Amino acid sequence: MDPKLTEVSQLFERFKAAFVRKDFDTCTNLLSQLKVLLTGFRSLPPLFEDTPNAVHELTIARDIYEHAVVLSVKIEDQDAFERDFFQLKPYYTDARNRIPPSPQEYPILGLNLLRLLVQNRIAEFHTELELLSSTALENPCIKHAVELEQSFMEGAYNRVLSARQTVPHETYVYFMDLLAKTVRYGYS
Amino acid sequence: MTQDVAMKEPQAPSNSVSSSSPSTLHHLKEIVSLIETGAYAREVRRIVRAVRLTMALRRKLKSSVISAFLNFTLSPGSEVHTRISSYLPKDDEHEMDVDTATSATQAPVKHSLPELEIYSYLLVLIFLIDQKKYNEAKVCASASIARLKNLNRRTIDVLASRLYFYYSLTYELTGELAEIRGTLLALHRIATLRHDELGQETLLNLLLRNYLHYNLYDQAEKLRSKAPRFEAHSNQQFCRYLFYLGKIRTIQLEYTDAKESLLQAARKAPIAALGFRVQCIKWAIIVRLLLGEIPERTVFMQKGMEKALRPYFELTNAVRIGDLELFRSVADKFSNTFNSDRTHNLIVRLRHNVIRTGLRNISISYSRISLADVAKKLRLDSPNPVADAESIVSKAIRDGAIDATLDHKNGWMVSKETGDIYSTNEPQTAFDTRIAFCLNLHNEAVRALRFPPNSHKEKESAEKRRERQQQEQELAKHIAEEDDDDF
Repeated sequence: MDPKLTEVSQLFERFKAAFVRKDFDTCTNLLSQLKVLLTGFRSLPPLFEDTPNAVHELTIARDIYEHAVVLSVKIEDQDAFERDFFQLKPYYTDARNRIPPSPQEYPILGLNLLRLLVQNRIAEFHTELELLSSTALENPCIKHAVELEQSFMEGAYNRVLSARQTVPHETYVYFMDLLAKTVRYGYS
Repeated sequence: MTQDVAMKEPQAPSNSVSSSSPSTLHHLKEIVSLIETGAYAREVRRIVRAVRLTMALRRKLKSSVISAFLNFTLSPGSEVHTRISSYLPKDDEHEMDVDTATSATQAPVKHSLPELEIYSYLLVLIFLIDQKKYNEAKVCASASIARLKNLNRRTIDVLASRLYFYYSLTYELTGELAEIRGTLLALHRIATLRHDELGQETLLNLLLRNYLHYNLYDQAEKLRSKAPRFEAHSNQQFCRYLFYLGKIRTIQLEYTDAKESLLQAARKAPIAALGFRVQCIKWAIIVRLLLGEIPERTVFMQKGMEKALRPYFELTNAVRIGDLELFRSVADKFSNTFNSDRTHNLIVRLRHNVIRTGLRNISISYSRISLADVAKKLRLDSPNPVADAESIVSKAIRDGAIDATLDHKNGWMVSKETGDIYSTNEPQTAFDTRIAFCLNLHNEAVRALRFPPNSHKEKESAEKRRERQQQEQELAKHIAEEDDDDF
C-alpha cells in the first residue's frame, strides 16, 4: 500500500479516536495536518486523475471532510462549516460515479440547508434545493429542513419551535437552537 | 489550406444526381456563391443570409445531394473532402462511386475557402441530426469544432455560432451534455479573445443551458454575472438569454426581475417558436403567482397553448380562491407535468401564497372572526390549528398583506375598515408603473430598429460634400472678387 495513504489512514484513526473522546482541540490540529496531506493525492478533486488507489483515496478523503463538517458543528464554527462543506461537495456531485454513495450524505446536505436557513440565505437555500433529486427530498433529514423553511415562510413559528424535538440527527440541535433564537427575536 | 491550391474541383456534379434533385442542389450552389462573395467582400450579412437559406432547404436534404454538393465545393480526393464525406451514411455507395468516377474529368479551379469547408461541415451535421444519426453527428461535430479552433476569420463567425449550437444539441440528444462543458468554456474564451461577439452570445447561452440542464443554478449565475455583456446581435440568442436569466432569478427569489425577463423573452420570441414561448409563459405564470399577482384569463387562452397551460390554469385558480385543499389536489393531479417542467419546487413555494390569498379573502369578508374559524376556513391540518393560525395571521399583518389586528385575549382577528382607495395615492402609483412600462417598451422598440450599416452616414456625407463644394466655390468667388477689387 502507498505509504502516504497509510500515513493518512493512521492519522485519521487518531482523529476519530479523539473525536469520540470529544477532545476537539486535538481534532482541529489533526484535521489541519490531514488536509495538508490530502493535497498530495492526485486523484482528488479538482484533478480527478485515475491513480490505482483512486477509489480508496476518494473514499477516505470524503470521510475526512464529513468528519470535518460534523466537527465544525460541534465546535459551533459556522465559517469552518461552510469551508468544509464546499470542500466536501465535489465528492457528492462530481465523484458520484466513481465511489459508492456515503450514508452520511443526506444528513450533511440537510445540515447545510439548515445552516442557510439560520443565516437567512434563502436564495442559496433554494439553489441547493434544486440540486436534490426527488428521492433525496423524501429523506427525513432533507424533508425536515424543507418543511422548516415552509413553516418559516408561512409564519407558523410554533411549528418551528416544536420541530426541535423531532430532529432527525443529533448534530441538528445546534442549528435548531440558533433558529429558535432567531424566531423568538422576530416574534417579539 | 495551401495544399488545396493544387487540388482540383469537379467541373460539374454527375448528371444522374443533379437530375434527380436539381432544385435542391441548385439552391445549394447559389448559397455557395453567396458565401463566396461574402467571404471575399468580408460582408457578414451575406453569410447570415446563406445560413437562413440553408434552413429553408433543411427538409429537402438527401444523402446523394450532399455528396454531390461536397464534390462540387471541395476538391474530391483532397484531405478535407474525404474527411467530411466519411461522415455521410454509406447506404448509397453506388451513387458515390459514380460521383467520383465522373469527377475524374476535372478542370483546374480556384482553391476552396475555409468558409466553404465549415459550411460543408454544417450541412452534413444538420443532415445527420435530421436523420437521427446522433453518434455520427457527434463525431462530425467534434471534428468541426477542432477545425474551427484553428480558424480566425470574422466571416466564419456566423457559421461557427451555428456549428456550436448543433454541437451542443447532438450531445444533449445523446444525454452527455456534461462532457462538453470544458470544451464550451474553452470556445467561449477563444471567442472572447477574438472579439467574436456572436460566438460569445451563442456559447454563453449554450453554457447556461448546460448548467441549467443539471440544475446548477449557482454556477450558471456566476458565469452569467462575470461574462462580458454587449448589445445583442441575434434576437433568438437574446431571447434564450432572457429565458435562462429569468429561470436563474426565479430560483434565487428575485421574482420582480425574473418576471420582467421572462415576459420579455416570451414577447420577443418569434411566433413560430411555440414551444419556447409556452415554456416562457409557464415560468412567467408561476413567477407572477409567487409575486401575489393573478395572471389574466387571456394568458391561458393564447392560440395553440390552451392544452399545455391547462395545469397552470387550474393551479392559478386554486391560488386565486385561496383553497389549500384544491391547491394540493391540483399539485398532485399534475405532478408529472410539473416534474417534467421542473417547476415542482416552485409550486411547493406557492403554498405560502395560497394561505395569504385565503387570509386576505377572510379579512375582506369578516370584520371580526375567531382564530379557530380562520384555521378551519384555511383548512390548516395541524395538531394545533389555533396557535398556527395565530402566528400565520400575525406574520401576515407584519408583512403588510392584510390590514388587521389580533385580539390575543379573545382569540379574534379584527379587520380594519378599508377606506376609499381613490382617496389614496394608490391609483397614482398604478398609473405611474403603467406609464413607465409603456415608455420603456417604446424606447426598446426604437432601439431594436435595424438600419443597414453606413447608409445613413453616406447620405449625410454626400450632402456635406455638396455643401462643402458650394462653400469652396463661394470662397473662390470671393477671393476672385477681392482680387478684382485690388486691381
